[in-house]
Amino acid sequence: MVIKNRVKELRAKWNFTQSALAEAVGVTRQTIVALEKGDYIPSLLLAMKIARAFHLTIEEIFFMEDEK
Amino acid sequence: MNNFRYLISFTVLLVLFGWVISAYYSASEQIADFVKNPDRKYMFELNIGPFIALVCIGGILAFFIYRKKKRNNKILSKVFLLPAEFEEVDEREKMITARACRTSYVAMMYAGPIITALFIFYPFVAEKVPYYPIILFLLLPFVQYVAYFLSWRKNY
Repeated sequence: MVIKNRVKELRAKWNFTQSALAEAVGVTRQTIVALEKGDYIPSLLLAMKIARAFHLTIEEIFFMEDEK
Repeated sequence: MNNFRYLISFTVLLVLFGWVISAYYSASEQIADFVKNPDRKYMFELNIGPFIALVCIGGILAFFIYRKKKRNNKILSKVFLLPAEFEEVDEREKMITARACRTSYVAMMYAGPIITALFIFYPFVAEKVPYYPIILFLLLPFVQYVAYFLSWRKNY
C-alpha cells in the first residue's frame, strides 16, 4: 500500500520554497525532497505540522494511492 | 555528502593508529628481548614518526570534523561523545542513522567470525608481518564503518 501526498502541488500553490517549508516544519530540505518524491513517509507529528503549514487536514494532503 | 569525508577521515585515522600501535608493538618486543637478555646496550628503540603523524594529521581532521559538528549541535556532550557521522537533525535522518547502525551490526556479525578465523594464518605470516593481529583487529571497525557508510548513502 503506497501513501502519496500533495506536498509539491500545495507548496507551489502557497509559493513556498522547499527550504521555507522545511524551516516551517522543522526538518531538513532533503526530507522535503524525499517526501515529495514519495521516498519517505513522514511521522504523524511531521504530517500534522505540514497540514498546519497549509491550513488543511492530514487527509487532504496524505492519501493511500487507491483512495484517490 | 559529508559522510564520504568522514569515511576518508576515519580510514586515515585508523591507518595512522595502526601504524602507531605497530611502532609500540615493535618497542614492546625489544623490551621483552631486553628483559630476557639484559647485556644488550640499549633497552628499546621507538619510531615516533607515526605518533607525530597521528597527532598532526589526526588533530587537523578532528578539528575540522568537530568544528562542523559543533555548528549543528548545541549540546557539548553530544559533540564530544557521539561519533561525527551521526547526523540526526530531523526524524528522517534519525531513521537513516538507525538503519545504518542495524546494517553495521549485521556486518559485525559476519565480519567478527571471519576476522577471528583469519588468525589461523598468523603462525605462517608472523615472521614477515608481525603486526598481523593489529591489522586484523582494525579490520573489524573498518568493515563496520564501511557498512554504515554504504547504508547511509543508499538511504539518504
